[in-house]
Amino acid sequence: MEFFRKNKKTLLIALIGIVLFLAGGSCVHNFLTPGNLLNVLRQSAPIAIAAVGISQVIVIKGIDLSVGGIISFCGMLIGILFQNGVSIPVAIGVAMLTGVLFGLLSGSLVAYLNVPPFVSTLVVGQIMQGAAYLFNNGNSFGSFPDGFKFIGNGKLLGVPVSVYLMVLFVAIGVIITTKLPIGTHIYGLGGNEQVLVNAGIRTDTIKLFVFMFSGFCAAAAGVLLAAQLNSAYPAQGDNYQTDAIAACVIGGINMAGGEGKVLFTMVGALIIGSVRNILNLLHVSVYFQNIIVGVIIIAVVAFSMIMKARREEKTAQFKPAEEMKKN
Amino acid sequence: MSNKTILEMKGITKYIFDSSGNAIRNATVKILDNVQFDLREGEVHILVGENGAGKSTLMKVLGGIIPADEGEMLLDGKKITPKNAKEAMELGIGFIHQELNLCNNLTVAQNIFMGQEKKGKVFMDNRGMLQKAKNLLMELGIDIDPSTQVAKLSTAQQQVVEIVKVLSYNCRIIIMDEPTSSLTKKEIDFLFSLIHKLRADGVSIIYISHRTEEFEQVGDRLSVLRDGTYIGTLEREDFEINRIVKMMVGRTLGEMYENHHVPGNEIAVEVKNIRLEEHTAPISIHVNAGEIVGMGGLVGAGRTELAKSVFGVRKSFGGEVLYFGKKHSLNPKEWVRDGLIYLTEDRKDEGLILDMGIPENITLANLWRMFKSGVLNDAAEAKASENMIKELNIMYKNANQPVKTLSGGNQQKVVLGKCLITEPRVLIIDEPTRGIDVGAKREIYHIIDQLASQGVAVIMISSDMPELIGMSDRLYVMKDGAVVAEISDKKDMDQEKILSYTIGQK
Repeated sequence: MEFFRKNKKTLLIALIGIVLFLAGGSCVHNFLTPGNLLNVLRQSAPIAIAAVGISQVIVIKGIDLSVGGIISFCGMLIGILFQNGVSIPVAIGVAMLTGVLFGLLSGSLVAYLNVPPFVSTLVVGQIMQGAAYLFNNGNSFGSFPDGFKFIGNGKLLGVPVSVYLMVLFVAIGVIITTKLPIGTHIYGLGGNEQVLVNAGIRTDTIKLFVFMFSGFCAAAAGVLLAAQLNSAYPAQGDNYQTDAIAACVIGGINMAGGEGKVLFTMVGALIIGSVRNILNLLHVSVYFQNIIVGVIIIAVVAFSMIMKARREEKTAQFKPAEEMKKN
Repeated sequence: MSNKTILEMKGITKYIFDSSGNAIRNATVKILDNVQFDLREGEVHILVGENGAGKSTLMKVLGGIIPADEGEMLLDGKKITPKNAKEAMELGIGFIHQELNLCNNLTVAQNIFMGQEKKGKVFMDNRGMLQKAKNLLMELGIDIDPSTQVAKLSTAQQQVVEIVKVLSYNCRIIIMDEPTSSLTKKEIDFLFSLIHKLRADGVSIIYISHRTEEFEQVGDRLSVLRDGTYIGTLEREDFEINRIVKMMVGRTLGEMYENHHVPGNEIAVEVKNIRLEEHTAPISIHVNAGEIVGMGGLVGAGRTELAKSVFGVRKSFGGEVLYFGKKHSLNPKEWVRDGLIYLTEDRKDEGLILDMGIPENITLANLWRMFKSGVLNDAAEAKASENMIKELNIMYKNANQPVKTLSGGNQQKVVLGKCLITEPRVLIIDEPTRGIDVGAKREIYHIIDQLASQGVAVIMISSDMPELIGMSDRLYVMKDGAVVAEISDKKDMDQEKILSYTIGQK
């Protein structure tokens, strides 16, 4: 019983996953084939990579709404760079750096001007989304170099390269959060900022770092997505922001900050990836899929808020009457 | 305990300050006025005083949280000026706040080493930190798993974590701000044994407390502050409750208060057996029309919670409230409709829209009553508020200036105006004069007295003892979420008596 209480969240996530796979396997033809499952992994990779970054922003009680814009912008940026004959490593480097710089912009607004994160990232995302349309007059790019396509669709030892990248980014996230002091500080910031200030920790630099890291991850997701699709169009990142936030929420990242593990966001991303895959196999339109993802986010957030309210109701503020008499 | 003095604070003066600790421009109100304090090696030095006497401010200066405006601090004879809590800790001064300074979502070890994490070759040395935390806890004879999340610990255990955190900086001076306020009897005994142990190791402790019964149990010396000034220091053998209380109180009541109103006989509000939490004692109080009833007690005794529960913005358990003899639902909207208004203690957050002008703020709560059609009429709004501004003597440069630019006293008058324009029959007013200068206080007392003369029933929550005694026709004292005393004769209202109820002497 103790085990169940301690790992309630983990078990819940596992349960959702299992139910989904059983349902998917029994109802949907072709879902549980090795080829399709590898495909689910591959399609989940950009979601998981973006989610690693967003999860840290949510942990510090923020939200990153620029991820969609960054994914779109970086895809288009890669496109125009290839069109002008820039080499693959340089193009990727430039795209990643752009993501970091726009993360720095959102982060600075939050850290130094006290702009609420949802405002700063919404605006930055909007700017980048707008800029994405300017690269090619709203048209898409395609036919990327073979080496680049390999990143998106190639396999090593029978496993898609995308999956290695997903594992790499999740590993980076896990190392930052559990093995480096800044990880403790990020979670501390989501718990009680005053404690960090009293301990002489610069909370502004932590905020900058978190937003830059989220921008970095979003840029990587954008690059990977462009490689997978072998094309870039200006609204490419549209669904991925919500999917990544959904991955965080399902993975147990508490929207109120301070709680949740990076590793589970990958599980969340795989669940979202599976949902999308199943719906695709069932020929459900992408618009309807978005509605379902939205409903999932609301359901999970509402559930965790209700649980939290219950916990808080149990903590008393005054001492018991009997205790008073003794004093 | 040796007689070596390790810390001296001399001539500390602090003017009234804003939330970040900076002096408010041109402020003349002193929170601390030329206060002195000294601490010997290995002693427990108790610091007492009423709410607002300046104890916490003095300790915040020592702990580096706010700077002093005048005066100096000497640690081992050397002048120190800690600029933040971390610098103070590195100097050996640790502060354990009443509201604990921990990240509840992190583990014990993570909290202890926050900002001073141990590093291995590349990564953090998580295992080393767990081990070190375990050792520190064991040294104090405490069995807590350092990998436990702090939220899962009891308040007493959390306090221990704070103590260990402070000790991990090798602090020689520990400030404890009312450490027992939320502990049970058993936990208090444990804390005291811990304090004795630390003292034996040569750690000096400054212990802020309201509880007289604790003084003799832990204290070596005791200093008293009152109204921001230093009153005196007693050695252990001179600890005598009456003497200490006299030092704490010792004020004279000026001609601040007017009492023109005469309490009526009709019961306006009767609270019957309402409990603030499932396990607290039921509370029954009443107020008559035209009567001013005071609610005394320490901060956190449950007075505000009672007001909020009655008004219906906080949960309550059991009981009922009668309004002029009829049962009334605990619903703020219906209370306001029927003429019961609650003015919160936090006028900035809950009572005013700081960026709006005076007329908008005054008419805000009453728009539907004034404009039945649903369409606002600026001229009518201005006229109604103009009368109120005159009546309350609100001072301003321009009626449309944002109310945040008004002084505290004038802000409070705007809040009062906002409520009076609805012509209430019952007014619950929470800390009506907090942070307000003497002149404005007097005017607010005048307004409250006038209201009572017009037959309004007033419940006044106040931590300002002279105000409570000066204004109340009758008063209740609360402690730990329950009413512990009712004093209905004005003659029986003296500060020492009320204070002894609030800190649980009787």
